[in-house]
Amino acid sequence: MSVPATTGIPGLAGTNPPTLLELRGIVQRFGAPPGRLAQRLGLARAPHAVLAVDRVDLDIARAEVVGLAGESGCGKSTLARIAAGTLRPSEGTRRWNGRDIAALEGSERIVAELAIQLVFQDAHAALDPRMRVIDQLCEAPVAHRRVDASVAGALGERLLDEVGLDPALGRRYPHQLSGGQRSRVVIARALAVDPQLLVCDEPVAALDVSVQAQVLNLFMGLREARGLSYLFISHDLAVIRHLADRVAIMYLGQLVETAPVRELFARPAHPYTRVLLAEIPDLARRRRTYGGAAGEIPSPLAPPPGCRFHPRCPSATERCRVEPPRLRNVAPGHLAACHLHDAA
Amino acid sequence: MSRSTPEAAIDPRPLLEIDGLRTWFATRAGTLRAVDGVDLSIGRGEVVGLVGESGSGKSVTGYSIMGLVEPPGHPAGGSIRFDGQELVGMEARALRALRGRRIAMVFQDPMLTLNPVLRIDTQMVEAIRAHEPIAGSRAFERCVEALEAVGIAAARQRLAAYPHELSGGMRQRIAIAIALLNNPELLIADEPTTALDVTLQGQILALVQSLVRRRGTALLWITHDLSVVAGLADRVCVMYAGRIVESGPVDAVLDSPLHPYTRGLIASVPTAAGAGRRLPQLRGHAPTPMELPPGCAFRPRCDRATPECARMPELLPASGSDRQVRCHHPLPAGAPAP
Repeated sequence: MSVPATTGIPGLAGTNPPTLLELRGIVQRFGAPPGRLAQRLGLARAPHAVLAVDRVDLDIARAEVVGLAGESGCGKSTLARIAAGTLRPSEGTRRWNGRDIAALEGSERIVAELAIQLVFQDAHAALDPRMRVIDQLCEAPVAHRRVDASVAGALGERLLDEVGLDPALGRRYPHQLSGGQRSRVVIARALAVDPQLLVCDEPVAALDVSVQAQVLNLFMGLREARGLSYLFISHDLAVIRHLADRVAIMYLGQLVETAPVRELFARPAHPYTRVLLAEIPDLARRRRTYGGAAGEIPSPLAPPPGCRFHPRCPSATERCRVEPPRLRNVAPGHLAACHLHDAA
Repeated sequence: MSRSTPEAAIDPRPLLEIDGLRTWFATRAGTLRAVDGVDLSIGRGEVVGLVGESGSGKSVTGYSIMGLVEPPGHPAGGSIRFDGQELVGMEARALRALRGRRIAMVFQDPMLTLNPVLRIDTQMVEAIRAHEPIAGSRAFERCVEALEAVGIAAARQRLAAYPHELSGGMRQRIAIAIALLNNPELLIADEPTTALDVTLQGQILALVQSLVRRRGTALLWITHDLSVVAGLADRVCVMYAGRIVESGPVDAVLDSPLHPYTRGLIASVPTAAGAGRRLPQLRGHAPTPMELPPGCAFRPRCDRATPECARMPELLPASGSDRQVRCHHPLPAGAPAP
C-alpha cells in the first residue's frame, strides 16, 4: 500500500509535491540460505534468517522531512541504508522521480544515486582520520567530475561556510575538531555532490543537548536554503517532532504507523506509538511516577505470529495473535496497522 | 518519598556533604582539572539530579564519591563526608567496607558491574558475603528476592546464566539488583539509561524510582538529560567545566533558572510547543578541562559577561536559602524560563 506524501512547507501546502523517492515492497533478509550440499543431504533446516525489513513501502516528497522512529533492532538503520543505496535490498524497488533506480544505467544511474546522500551517526567513524577535512569534502565531487580539482578547494571552503564552520578548519584533521564540528563536516561532505535527499541516520544521537540544538538548527536552515528532503532517523521522538513533516514508526521490521507529525502526536493510532509517546521524557512533567511499558522488543529471529506487537499490547485480542494487521487509512494521510481500527 | 521518610524527619543532617572537591588527572599534556571545586549535599532519601554535558566532570564526581578514581586521576583537595565520616583519604579497607554496603553505584554500561566470566549467582552471592558472614544458601535466596524485586521473571534460571546470555535491559536490571543487595543508604546512578531505548529507559526509571522510594534510599542520578531529571529528581545540580554552577529544587531551577548556562541548556531541549522553530542555541562549545579560561568558565559563551567575570564567582545562596548560583550576573529570580 502506498503512503501518500504531504508536506509542511507553507508554499507547497495544498498542492501535491512530486514524490522524489518511492520505496516499494522493501524486504531485507540477513543470514545466508543453507548451502547446496546441506540441501542435497537433506540437512537444510528451516531458513534461518533475520527479516530485518519486512515489506516496507515509504514515499518521500520533494522538500519533505520524513521522520523514522523505532527501537533498536527495528530495522530503521537497515531501511536507511537501502534508501541511500548503500545496501541492495533482498526484494523491492527504489524509484527516483518515478523511475526504478536499479534499471537505470550509466550517467542516469549515477545522477540518481548522487542525489541521495547519507549522513552517519558516528561522525568520528565516518571521517578518514588521516585525511584533511578539505580533501574529504572535495573527494566525491572531483571523482564524479562535478568540479575541477583545481577549484575544489574553493568548493570545500564554501561548504564549510555553509555548515557554519570557519573555512580555515579545512586544513585540520578530524581528531583536531570537536564532536559538533565533526558532525558539521559529515553534513558538509554529504552536501558536496549537491543532493536533493539526505538520509540521516541518528545524526544527533551522540551529541550533547546544546550541540544537538545547533545541529538541528543547521538541518532546518539547509532545508530552507536548498529545498532539501530528509529521511531523518532517530530514536528520539522529541527530535522528530521538532523537525519532521511526517512520521513513520517501525516495529520489528515493519511500518506500523505513518501520519503527518501533528496528527501522529495528537492522535496516535497504533498502541505501540502510544507507548513510545508516553515514554518521551518531558521537561514539563515534574516528579512523575514512571510506569514503564511492558516487555522488551522480541528477537527479530523469532518474531511473534499475528501482529508482532501483540505480546506487549495492552489491547491485544485473539485475532491479534493469529492475523497480521495490514496498514490501512484511519484518517486522511494517516495509516496504521492495527486490528483495533476495524471496529471503528 | 524523601519528604515522608521517617529518617528525614529525625536526622536533618545531610547524608552526603561534598565541599570543594577537586579531582585532577596528571596527563602528559598537563593537569586536567576534571572536577575543580564541587560543592554538593544530598539529604537522606533525597533524589538529586546531577546534570552536565560531556566533559563537565559529572561522572568523575560520582567516581570520586565511590573512591573509584584511578591514576592518573587523584584527589587534589576538598572533602566528602558520608554520614559524618570523611571519605577523602580514608583507608582502603574502611572504604571497601562502606562501598557496596552503604553506598552503591550503577553505571551506564552494566558490564562495568558484571564480570563476563562468572555466573550471575556467583557474583551476587559474593557481593553479599563480602559484607556479611552468612551461609551461601541464605545469600542465594536473597539474590532470588533481589532479582524478583527488579522484575526479572524465572529468577532462579537467570541466576545460573552468564552475562552475555542476557539482554541489555536485563543486565542493567541485574546491575541495579546488585547495587541494592545490601540496602545502601545512597545509590549513585551514572547515566544508567542513556544507552537504552525509550521504553527500556522508562522501565529502568520506574524500577529505580519505586525501589528508592520504598526503601528511603538517597539517589544521585548523573545525566546529560534534563528531561529525565525533571521527572525524577527533588533537587537538581547543574555542572559546567568541573564546577556546580547552579543548584536548587527542580521546579525552581527549571522554571526560572538563575545561571545563564542553565537557561541556555533548558532552551536547547526540543519541546512540543517549539516544534518546527529554530532552537535558541548556546554559542560555541563547552571548553575542554585543559583550556579553561580564567574566571567563570562560561564567560566566552555568555551574553551577560562583563570584565568582572574574569574573576571566578563563588557558589552563593540566591533567591531563598534553598538555591545556589555561581554567577556575577545571575538572571532575575522569577524570570520565566526560555
